[in-house]
Amino acid sequence: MNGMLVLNAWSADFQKQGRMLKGFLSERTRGLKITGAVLFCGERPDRAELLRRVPAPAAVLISLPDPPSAETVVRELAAVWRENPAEVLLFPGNHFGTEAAARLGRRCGGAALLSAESLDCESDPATAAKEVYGGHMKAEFELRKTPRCLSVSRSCPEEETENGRPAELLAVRAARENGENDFLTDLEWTAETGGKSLENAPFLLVAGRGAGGREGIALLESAARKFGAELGVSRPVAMSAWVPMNRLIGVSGAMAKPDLCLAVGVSGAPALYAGIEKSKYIVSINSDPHAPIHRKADVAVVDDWRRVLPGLCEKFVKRSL
Amino acid sequence: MRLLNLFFVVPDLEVLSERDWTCGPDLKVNTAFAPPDWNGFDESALELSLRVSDPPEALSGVQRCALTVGGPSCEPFLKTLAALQFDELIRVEPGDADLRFCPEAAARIVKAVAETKFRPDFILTGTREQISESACVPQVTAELLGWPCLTQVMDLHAAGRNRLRVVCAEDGGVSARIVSAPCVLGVGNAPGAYLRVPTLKDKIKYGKKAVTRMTLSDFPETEKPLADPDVRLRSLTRIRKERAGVILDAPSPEEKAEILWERYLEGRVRRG
Repeated sequence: MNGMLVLNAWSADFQKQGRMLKGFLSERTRGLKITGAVLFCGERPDRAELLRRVPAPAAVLISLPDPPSAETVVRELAAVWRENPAEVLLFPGNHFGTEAAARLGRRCGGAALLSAESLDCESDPATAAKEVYGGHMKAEFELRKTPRCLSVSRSCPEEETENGRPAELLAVRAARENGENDFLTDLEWTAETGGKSLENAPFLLVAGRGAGGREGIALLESAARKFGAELGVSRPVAMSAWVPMNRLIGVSGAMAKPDLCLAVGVSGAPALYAGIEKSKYIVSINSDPHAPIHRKADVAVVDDWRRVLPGLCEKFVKRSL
Repeated sequence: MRLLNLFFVVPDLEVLSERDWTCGPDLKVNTAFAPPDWNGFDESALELSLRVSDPPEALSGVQRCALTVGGPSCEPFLKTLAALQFDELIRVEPGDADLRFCPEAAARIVKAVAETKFRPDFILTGTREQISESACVPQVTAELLGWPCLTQVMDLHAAGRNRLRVVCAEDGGVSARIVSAPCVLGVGNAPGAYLRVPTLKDKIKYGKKAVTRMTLSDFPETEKPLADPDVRLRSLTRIRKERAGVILDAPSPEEKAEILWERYLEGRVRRG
C-alpha cells in the first residue's frame, strides 16, 4: 500500500515531526511504502535542511507567507490528494496533525484515525491500533475507506532523520489564503517555554492530585528545585490552575523520557502514565496502597509524601555540597 | 448569540478494578456500575459557554442549547444545566445502538440539530471523549456543516455580537484571536474551567425545565455511519504497563526515605 507523509515546517517542532513519523514507519507499520511527503513551509525555506529531515524519498513543498491555518492546510492537501491519490496519509501526532488528519479524512471521503499506535497494511482491510477507554484498552480498527488519514501517537518511538538520504524535491507550490480564514483576526501569539524543558529533563518530579492544593504544589516545587528536577503535573492539577498548563504531563501534555521520575501523589491513571512511561526509572510515593502507580513504578513508597520528601531533600542537598 | 454544546456523560473508569477490564464477543466493557460523570473536555466546553455571559465582557441575550446522546443516566446532568440556565436541553436516546466508536454519528446528530432545531452561531464540544478517544467529533462536525473549526480551545470570552475572543493551544505556543460566527470550537485543556455549581435558588427556579427527548430514529442520517462505518472496531485488548513495583518497607516514612536514597537513588542521581 502506498503512503504519503504530511509535515508542517512552520512549526518549531518540525524536526520532532520527522522523528515521530520515521519511528512510526520503522517500528509500527507493516506493508506501507512511503512514496512522498508534503511539507508546509515559508516562502524562503532552507530547502536542503527541510529535505534532509523528511523520512520520504520525495517531497512537494507548499509555501505560504504566513503559518497555515487548518482551513488552508486541508484545502491544499485535498487538492494534492486528488492529483496524487495516496492510499495512506500519515500525519505527526501534534495539534497540526490531529486536526488536519480528521478533517482531510472526512473531506476526501476516507477513514480517519488519530493517535495511532500501529498500522498494518498487509491485512485486508488495513488495520490500525490505538489506545481507548482512557488508555486502559487497546483497540484494533479496520480502516475501510481511502484515503486512510492517520496521526501517529505521541507515545510512539522516535528515530533520527538526518542520517537518511535527503528527499528529492518534486515541486514547490505557492499557496495563498482564499477567504477561508476571514472568520479569524489574530490578536496575540505567546511562544511556549515549559513543555520542551519537561520533555528533555533528565530528572522529573511529577505531582498529582495528592499534592492537595496550591500549598502542596509550592512544597513540591521547592523540593524539585533542591533535587535539580523539573516539575510536571497531572491533568487535574493543571486544570485546577495550581500551576501553568505548560507543566502538564501525559497524553494532552508533555511526553517525557527522564532518567529518573519521582511520581508524587499520582494515582497512575493511563493518561498521565503515557507521559512518563519512557522514564528509565520510576519511583512512586503515594499513601494509597492500591494506587495503580505503585505497580507501574520500579520502586514504590506507600506513605505520606509530606513526611518522605524532606528526608530525601536532605540527602540530595548533602550530596551536592 | 446562540451557542450549542454537545456533551457526553461517561463512566468513571478509575473505579474499575483489574478484573473488570474484560470484554465479550460484543467488544463491550461492562461499565454500568461505574458512577457517571461529565466527560472532562465537554465539561470545560459547557463552562466556557457560560462565561460568555460573565462580566466584564458580558453579552446579553445569549441563548444556549445543551445536547447529549445517552441513556437516562444523563438526566441529572441535564437538570444541572437547566439550573445553570441553559435555554434548551436535548437528550438523544441511543437505544441499543453502539455509538462508542462512531464519531460521525454524533457529528451528524449535531448537524441535524444545528440545521433544524437550534441554528447556533457557535458549536462547542470537547476535543476528546473518554471511551473512544476519537478526538474527531469537532472536526467532522465542521466538515459536515461546511463551517470552520478551531480545536484545543483553552479559553473564550464575548467580543461583541456574534464574535468571540478565543485562546487556543497550538504547536509551539498559544494564540488569541477574534473568531466570527459560525464556527465549531473543540475545547481542549482549559485551566480552571470546571463547571460551576448552580445555586439552590436557581435549582428550584430553573431546574425543572423540560428536556426534549429524541431517539436515533429522529436522525436517519446516522443509520449509514452506524451500519457501515469508515472505521470499524475489530478487537479490544487490555493494556498492561507494569514494572517491578518493589514496595519499600520500613517502620517510618523517614526511614523509608533513607532506604530509598541509599539503595535505589544515590547511584542514579547526578552530582548537582
